[in-house]
Amino acid sequence: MTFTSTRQLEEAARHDAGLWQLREIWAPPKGLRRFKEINNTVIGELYVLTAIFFLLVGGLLAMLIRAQLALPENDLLSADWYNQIFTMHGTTMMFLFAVPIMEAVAIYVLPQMLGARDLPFPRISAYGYWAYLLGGLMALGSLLFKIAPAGGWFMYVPLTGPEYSPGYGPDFWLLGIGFIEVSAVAASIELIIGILKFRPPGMSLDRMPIFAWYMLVFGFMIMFGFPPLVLGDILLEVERAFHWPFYDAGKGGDPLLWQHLFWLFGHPEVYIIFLPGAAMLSTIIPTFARAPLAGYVWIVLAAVGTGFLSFGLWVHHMYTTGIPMMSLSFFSAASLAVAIPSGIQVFAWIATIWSGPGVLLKVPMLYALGAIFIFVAGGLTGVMVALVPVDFQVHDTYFVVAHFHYVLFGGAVMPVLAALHYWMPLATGKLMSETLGRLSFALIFVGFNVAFFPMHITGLRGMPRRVYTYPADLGWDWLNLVSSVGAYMVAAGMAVFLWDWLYWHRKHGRDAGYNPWNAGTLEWHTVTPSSAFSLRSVPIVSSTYPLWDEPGLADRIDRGEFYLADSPDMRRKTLRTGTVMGEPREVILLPHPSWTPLVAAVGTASFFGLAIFKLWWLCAAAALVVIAAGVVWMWDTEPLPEPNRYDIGRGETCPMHVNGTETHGFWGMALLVLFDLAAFVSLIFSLLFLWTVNRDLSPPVPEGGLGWASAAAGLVLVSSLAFRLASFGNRRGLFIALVVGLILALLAMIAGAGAMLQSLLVTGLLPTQSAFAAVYWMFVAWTGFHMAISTIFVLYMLARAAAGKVTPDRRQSLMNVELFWHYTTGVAVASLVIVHLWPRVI
Amino acid sequence: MPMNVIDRDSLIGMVAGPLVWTAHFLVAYILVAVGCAFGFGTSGPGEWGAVRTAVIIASGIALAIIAVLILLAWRRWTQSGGSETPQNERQARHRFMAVGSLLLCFLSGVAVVYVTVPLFFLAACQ
Repeated sequence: MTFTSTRQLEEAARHDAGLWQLREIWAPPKGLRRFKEINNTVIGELYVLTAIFFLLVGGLLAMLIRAQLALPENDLLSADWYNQIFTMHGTTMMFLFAVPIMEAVAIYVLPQMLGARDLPFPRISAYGYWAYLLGGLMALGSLLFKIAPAGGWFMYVPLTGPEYSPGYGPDFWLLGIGFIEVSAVAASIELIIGILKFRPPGMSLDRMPIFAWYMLVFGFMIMFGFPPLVLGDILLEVERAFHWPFYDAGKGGDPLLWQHLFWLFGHPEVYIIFLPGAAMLSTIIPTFARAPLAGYVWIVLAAVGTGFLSFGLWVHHMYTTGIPMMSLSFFSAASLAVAIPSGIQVFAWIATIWSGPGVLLKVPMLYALGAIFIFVAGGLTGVMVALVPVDFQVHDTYFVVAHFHYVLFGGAVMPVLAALHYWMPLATGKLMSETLGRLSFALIFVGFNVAFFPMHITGLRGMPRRVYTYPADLGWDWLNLVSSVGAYMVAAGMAVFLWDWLYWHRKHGRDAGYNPWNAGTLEWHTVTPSSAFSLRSVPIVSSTYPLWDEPGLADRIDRGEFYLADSPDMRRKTLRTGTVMGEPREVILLPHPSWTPLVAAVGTASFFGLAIFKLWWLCAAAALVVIAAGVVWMWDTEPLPEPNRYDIGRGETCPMHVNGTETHGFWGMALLVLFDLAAFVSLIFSLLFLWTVNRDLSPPVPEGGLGWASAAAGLVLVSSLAFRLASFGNRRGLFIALVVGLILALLAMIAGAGAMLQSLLVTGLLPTQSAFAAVYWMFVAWTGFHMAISTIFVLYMLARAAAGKVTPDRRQSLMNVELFWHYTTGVAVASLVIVHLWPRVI
Repeated sequence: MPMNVIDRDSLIGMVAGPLVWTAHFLVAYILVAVGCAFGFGTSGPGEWGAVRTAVIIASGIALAIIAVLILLAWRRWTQSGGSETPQNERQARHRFMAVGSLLLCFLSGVAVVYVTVPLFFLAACQ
């Protein structure tokens, strides 16, 4: 029988040793030690709470904006203060709310949906969360001292460069937000590997919950979308701190380079936010339409297609910057093409509603329908502004403000509100109030349209964005007043929602019991609130909606009839399965609660915080803390139990430690390298861009550096060869070969780094003298940074080898480091070719 | 080897169409940016110029590759039973992957055509 109340569950645990073991090892620590917990349910809850807190802050800033603009020539806020407020409104909403809330919900709900106990790297999730919290507080803290960035959320140079923003404002943005990107990358690696490798047996790709498909695309989009921004951030911060003139037109730089790098991130970002929103809708709508999602494969096509096409849209934010008309037309075409997959999703949702026996209009569904309505309206104006001539007219007016608020509110905020109402029972075991929910929905939906619909007209009447006030009698007065009234209605609706979400339903809400919405996906398989270990046993599924199509499955999961129903050795574990078909491959021992993620995050936060004030020695100390935490963190990985088989139940066994390219550890490193490669390609793009815009200024040839460059290339190649020998030796059990190979690799790499530095020093080119020279030096600095990381990795591997932790059977860490090592070699050789050969060839 | 990569159950095979679109988009963007910077383009409405020709050739190549991918996906679809009800798990999965890549190829083809259309109306560096 399926448990219908938590009492029954408690009762059962008393007689069932397996269940008792699972509850015991997955119970979060009590008191202050709770902050050690790394399990996805605890971290996911904190993550959601924090994201909603930032939503509240962003919303309060919006209220200030609307108060200021309600009346013409208002003097509530000064111009500078207004600039800080609208900048932080956009920054908070995009970076501190929209992306993180999607990661948060996914981290919380995905493992349960996928029948896994947790995501592949729980400590990385925890680290990502703490990094996000601290980075967010750091960025927002600047507001308290009225020294916040004031150049808009897109931070255009030269306004945010050293000359026009000499204060700390932009540094808070660049370092605070740069730091938060770390957590986005952490989450995306988690989600990609979790979705591809931690599904239950039988859940082949064609049976994955649609939510997982979307989040898979989301993860890959972060992989390729964030690196250009990371690079742009680094370049701008280096320009501000050390005067390397990447964006300084007087020295061969170009402000448009920033715009390219920013929007190369910024447009995919919009879809990074929208796709999880669509994922929530695609999960919630079938439940309340009481019918499977219509056109599953079409939705997959839409998610994947949007993921690709959204990378061809970035210049549509730059139509008015003087780029050749032909180039603009490519981006216009791609912007129109992306409407196809967006449309397909909307039609699939409508078809789903149509195909069912009638819609249950519960609060989550109301929010979902509201989301579709608002998103479609935003999409239609999106088609308008995708057209170059229309955009010329409405660029930087309130029309665009109306457009993107419609898209983002419909595509992200409403779906998130729907999702919070929908999934709250998993966390609290209680249903949120229908009455309060309807009230908040009415206020938010009506208020939103009252606030933002008039902005289309305000914009067409010529009101520009980002002005802190406007003269009376331009025809904007009443429109602005109406918008402000609407905005306050939204705020009232949010207040009702928060009251219910944080307090009312927890105290007075109805018990949700088992599967309150009669949903079909696995996260609802047992009584709510769900356990920290997600599910009693990892099931074998044979359908996209297992709870609908396989009667008795939930019951059998709860009775522990499937895999990993107990844990006699009292260790947290989950199952890794094949990517396409989902067959059991390995039992993953998951880490237990630990302080290292929090310590590492505090160290990283200190590093970035201290860098704002250029306290470099303290930065170095913070970096040491991070490295130390990292070593403690990694030291106990790769346990090798004897014998290396584990009884997973049903008469089957699985290895507990596997070496090779299919392991989640190797994939983690491979994805990290992919991310890094995308940033490196962005650096190459920057050089090519400066080259095409500077036709009268050819890139300087680094005279006299060729000899040193050849030596450097030779040395790094030797280091890679030495590493290869080390790992070959290890496989053969030759400990001496391993140690000698690693030491040789290390020495060759350090010598290579020296030669590379020398190859540019001898040329006399200084990074401050021109943008080209600055980019050359950036290639060297970039490579040097990677060499430093590689060096630390190898010292760590030598320590592991000395401790007997690197053997022919335990070579996974070595393989992961080797991948990074060869990648570093590749970066070094590519950089040397670009800096020393390319200027000679062109 | 290439046949293995775009074989039935590979995710990379499934996104082969969009990958072609990506490559084409980048080539078109770079050709115009670099071509205009070095004076291979034209700026008058009536003139043709080398950049346009190059991008149109690139479009032709991209569409040809997508056509081949469509044929391959179509064959996989018919091999996995076409529109009949799938017999087993394996067949259902193959079908899903085939239809997925087929639809993505169509979308990519349309997107390539979209990008190509303006070439016939605009001078490259106007």
